[in-house]
Amino acid sequence: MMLEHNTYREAISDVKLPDDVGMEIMEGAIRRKEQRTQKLRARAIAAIAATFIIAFGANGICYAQTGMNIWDLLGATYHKTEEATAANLAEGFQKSGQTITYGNLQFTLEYYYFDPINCEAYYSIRTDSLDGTPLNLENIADSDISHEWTFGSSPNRKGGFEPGGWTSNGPISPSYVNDAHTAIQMFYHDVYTYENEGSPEDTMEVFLNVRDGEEAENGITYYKYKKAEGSFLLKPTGQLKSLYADGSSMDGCTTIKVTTGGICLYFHNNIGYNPEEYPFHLITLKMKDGTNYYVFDAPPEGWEPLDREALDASGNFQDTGYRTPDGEEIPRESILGQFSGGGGGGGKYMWNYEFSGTFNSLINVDDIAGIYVDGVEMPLM
Amino acid sequence: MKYTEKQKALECYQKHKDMIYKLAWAYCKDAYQAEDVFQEVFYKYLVSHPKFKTVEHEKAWFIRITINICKNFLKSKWNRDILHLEEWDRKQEGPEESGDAFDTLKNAILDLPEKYRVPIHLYYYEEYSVREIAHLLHKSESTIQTQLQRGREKIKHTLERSERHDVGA
Repeated sequence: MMLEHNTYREAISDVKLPDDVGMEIMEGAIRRKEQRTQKLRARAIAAIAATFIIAFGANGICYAQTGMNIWDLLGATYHKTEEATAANLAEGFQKSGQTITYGNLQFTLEYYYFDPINCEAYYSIRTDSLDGTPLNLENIADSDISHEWTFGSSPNRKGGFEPGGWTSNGPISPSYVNDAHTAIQMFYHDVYTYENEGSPEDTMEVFLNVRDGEEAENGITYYKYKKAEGSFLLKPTGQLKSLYADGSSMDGCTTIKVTTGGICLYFHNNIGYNPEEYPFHLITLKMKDGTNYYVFDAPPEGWEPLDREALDASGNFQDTGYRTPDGEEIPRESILGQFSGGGGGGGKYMWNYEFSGTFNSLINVDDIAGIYVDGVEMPLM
Repeated sequence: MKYTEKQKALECYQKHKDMIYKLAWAYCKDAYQAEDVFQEVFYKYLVSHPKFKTVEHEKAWFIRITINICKNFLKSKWNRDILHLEEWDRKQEGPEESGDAFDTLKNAILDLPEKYRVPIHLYYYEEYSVREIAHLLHKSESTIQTQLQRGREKIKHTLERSERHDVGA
């Protein structure tokens, strides 16, 4: 017998996953996902409570009366924020007031900052219960106002962007609730990339997906969603400070961009395709004052988490500090973020890669002394 | 979980279940482990919400994830230290004596070292080109060419030995 396509196929034709076993395995995967989501929800609720104390305990502001201004929101959302940097960003925010109503829920776009040049948007959306019924916080933080977006006024661009495909969604929690649980304020930071090259878009349109009933199957409840009528329109409000580095010493990389709240690495289309293995692992931002910030896809080998419980609960590498093999302790605040994916366009296996990540702290790019990728310094531009 | 998420996952299950399971089996040489890998692949899919631009992109994603998970499984201490039951059974039974020729080929495939087995599977079952396999496995085209060539030679050798054994018997 010769080894050929058809003989190979025939030889392993009995290697099959029976459908009933396959479905059982799928249900197992779905259950694990559900359990993970529940853990994350529980953690988000804990974070809401903790932040509420930090944000309002100090100055006695009552959210139910006044709401939370953007300055407070930035200060409470980010781990570490230098005052001047936060102030600089806060000044660029635009107050909006646009609303979308769905049933008993009213969604209000309160503040936003849209920078189409650097492809970043920050915005806060407040959800109010119109009849005063307390909101189901477990659900609302996770699902009720999940959103998607599109860009631009040009018709040929509008459909060209895959919502959520190549974005890093910044800290959507902590969220802020009032005492009566009839209002919640959530903060979003999106770093995105355009599918097509060209001039930046002039608008960003945010749509909301709202829960529309649920369906149970095999003992598991699935939520159904529909798009609420209306959208929020964001117009350019400013341009973030940015710093570029020449990434050409890294195979396939062209440039690295760092802004106040995010990072993006741009690659040529010849690096191959492997969604789980990044062409880099650890980005180190060395600051002029001698401190370091780190961004990674996964912690480097040998880095031991300082808070294993937090890591296990969320599954996010950035939720703990680390001890390096040299015994150095890196605090959680120095872990700026985690890359959440990459994307691009092109033919089969020819992807123009762009990896982006959002930060947990706002940084002043003027304070950066050097950008290192896997220990190699990338010349600043 | 969103309804659409489950629908999409089930669509992917229908589309790729054979491909994922057979690849996991070819990698791990063990049906039970292939099932564990299968669940891990779909768990990763559900957690990471990947967006695909093309069918090829989607398939390549599942192949890469499957290979990475297989690698991780085989790296774990448990897997380094045990001899899988199926492999044990095959070794106890010895070479196929009068079995179906396809069984002999299947055993010859399973006896290949992993570095030859996976490219052979992707080439002969998934019908990927050398270039595509090189992209998927992050290796050079010449490495893949060599691995395919050596894999073929080993299979040929096993088949010839089996045929001689059958004639002798």
